[in-house]
Order: sequence, then C-alpha cells, then structure tokens
Amino acid sequence: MIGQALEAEVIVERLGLSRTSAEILAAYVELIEELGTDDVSLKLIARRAGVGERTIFRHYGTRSELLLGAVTWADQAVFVRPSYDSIFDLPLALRQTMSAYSQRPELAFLVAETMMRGPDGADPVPSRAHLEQLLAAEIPDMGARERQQTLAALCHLDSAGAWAALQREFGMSPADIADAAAWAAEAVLNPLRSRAANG
Amino acid sequence: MSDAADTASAIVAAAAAQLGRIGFDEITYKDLGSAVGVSERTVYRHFPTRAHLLVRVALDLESRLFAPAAFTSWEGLYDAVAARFAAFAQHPAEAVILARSASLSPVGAESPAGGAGSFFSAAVGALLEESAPGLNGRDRRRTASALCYFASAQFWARCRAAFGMSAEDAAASFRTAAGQVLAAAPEGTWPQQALAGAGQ
Repeated sequence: MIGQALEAEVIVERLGLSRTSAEILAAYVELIEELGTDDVSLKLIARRAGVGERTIFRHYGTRSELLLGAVTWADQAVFVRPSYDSIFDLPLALRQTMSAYSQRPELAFLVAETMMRGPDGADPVPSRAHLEQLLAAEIPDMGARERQQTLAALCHLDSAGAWAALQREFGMSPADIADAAAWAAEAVLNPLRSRAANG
Repeated sequence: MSDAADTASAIVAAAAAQLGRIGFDEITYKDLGSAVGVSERTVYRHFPTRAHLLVRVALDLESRLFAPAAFTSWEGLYDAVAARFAAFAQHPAEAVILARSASLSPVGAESPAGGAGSFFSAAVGALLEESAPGLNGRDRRRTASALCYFASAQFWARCRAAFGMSAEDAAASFRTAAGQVLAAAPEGTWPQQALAGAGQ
C-alpha cells in the first residue's frame, strides 16, 4: 500500500486539479458528511479550505459544478480503489471498494445519485478507461458488441450505484454487499477465463 | 387529512409535469407552489428536502408510466425488462428520476421506488424459488440481487449515458448478464429450461 499522501497526489494529477481546487473539494466533501447535506454555505467551505469565497467562485462557477467536482473527488479520493493489473482481479478489488462505500454510506449515496443525473451528472462510468484497456490487452479477440456489453456490466457493478441498490433493495449487510458485487463480477468474467491471452 | 394528501399529490403531479421541459434540479418550490395554488412554505412542509420530492415523483412515475409487467417465466422476465427499457427510452427524463431515486439514501417512510422495485424483486425471487429449488438461500439472494440490479433503471441509464445504447441494446445486455449470472449457480441446481432461455 502506498502512502495516503502520495495517493492524493496521484488522484489530483489524474483529475487534473490544482492544489487549491483539491483543497476546496476536500473541504466541501468533509462538510457534506458532517452536516448530512450537500447544501453547505460557501462561507463554511471557504473557511474550512482556508481560502476566500471569491477563490471558490474562480475555481467553480456554479453550485452544480462544485457538487460535480466534489462527487468525482469523493469517488476517486475518498473511496480509494485498489490498483489491479488484470481484469480478473476486479472482483477482489470490488470487495474493497464496496467496503469503502459501506464505511461512509451518506457520501456513497450522494455519489450514486449524482452519477444518475444524466448529462448534468458526474461520469457514470469512472472506471471505464481502465477496464477497457485491460479487456483489450487480455482478451484481444473480443467483438465490439460483446466488449460493450461486458464493459457496461462491469462498470455498472464497479459503482456507488451498485452499493446503493444492494443496500436499499435487499437490505444487505456490508459483508454481503461486498460478496454479492464480487460474485456478480465473477459471473460476468467466467466465460472469458478460457479466452484470456495469457491464460 | 385527505386535503393534505391531495395537496401533496398535486405538488407531485405539478413536478412530474415539468420534467422533460426542464430538469428536476431546475424545478423550484416557488413555481410548484404557484402551480398548485399554495405557498412555497406549504410545499416545504410536505417535502422538507428535494430528496423527499424526488422519491415521491419517482413513485408516481413508476406507477403511471413504468409499471413492470407481471411474469412467471424466464422468457416473461426478459420480455418485461425489454418492455420497461423501451418505456424508459420513450420517457428518458422521467426514467432518470427513477434511476436517481433508487440511488438515494432512503428518506421518510416511502417504500423504495425506481430501480428494480420491490414488486419486481419479489417476482424474481419467486421465479428463482420455483425453477431452482436446490439453490441455497445465499446463492438465491446473490442471484436475485444481480438480476434485479441489471434490470434496473440505473443500468438502463448507465448504458444509455455512457455507451449510447438503444433500449434494445440495453435489454440485450441485460439478457447476456442475466445468462452469465444464472450460469454461475452451482452445477446441478438449475433445470435446463432456465438457462436455455437466457441469451448467450
């Protein structure tokens, strides 16, 4: 496990954020959790981040831009996904991701809901690029339609929405949620095992 | 009592009517109040947060536009999901409300709306129990939850927004995923016809 500080640096770089932007988002996410709502005053965010209110406006023109930034930040930086180099390691990684969501449920619900807002929402498939790359490398002979269906299913499982649905619809415990998500990902990957290039 | 219920229903109907023209997040409590002829404060009294409103609007849409068809066979399940996804594609703004509502932290005493819905998951559970009596409780629950999650408004919304899929493509993706989930059950617990109906 690499250090938490380094992880944060990597995420800031991946999201293309300035240090100030990252501090604003981190402060906002903290306050959302403490107050139990995303309706947090700019004054409070500014004070927590140690910047002026005008600085927040310069970085995030509107309230919804700020929320989207915070949700993306939460999904990448708060709910840290373990790194993995094979598509077949996704189920194991999913166990950890789901446990992370269970530890901060209100934030996980906020991420899940914001990803469902359509064109105005956060990226509904944040892990797509990584999964696509692994699929192309490990199962190069996959047709376009099959690739798309597989990606859609795996991206759908690797989301706060999966956690929210399993929690709400089935009232599962954190251990059962992690287990159910990993099991479903195994089911999607099972038919591919014998076709893996290195397998 | 019934007056209050009528007011709440009227507010929900007014909010639902605005969808499509403007997004849910642009709907103001003030406009809802004037549409129904009550004050903004009254709207707040019925729906203390926007999440409360969203959940009630989703319940309303679920019953009016997206009520899932009853099914008692696997083929019936696939048909019901295809029909539901087609209805979502016809009313995308309304379907997104279902997807959002099903992703929310539960508010109030409302039963869950959107997503697979409790009626739907009960039907899937019954189908599993009948066609795979040998399945243990844990596997049944995992299988049912995966089937419902891939049949949900969230899956349709994700397929549409991220992959540009049509309703037919999303339904085909559901069928494929359902087949994979069913095939993952321990050997010997499945009657052949359940798997034969699944798309692979």
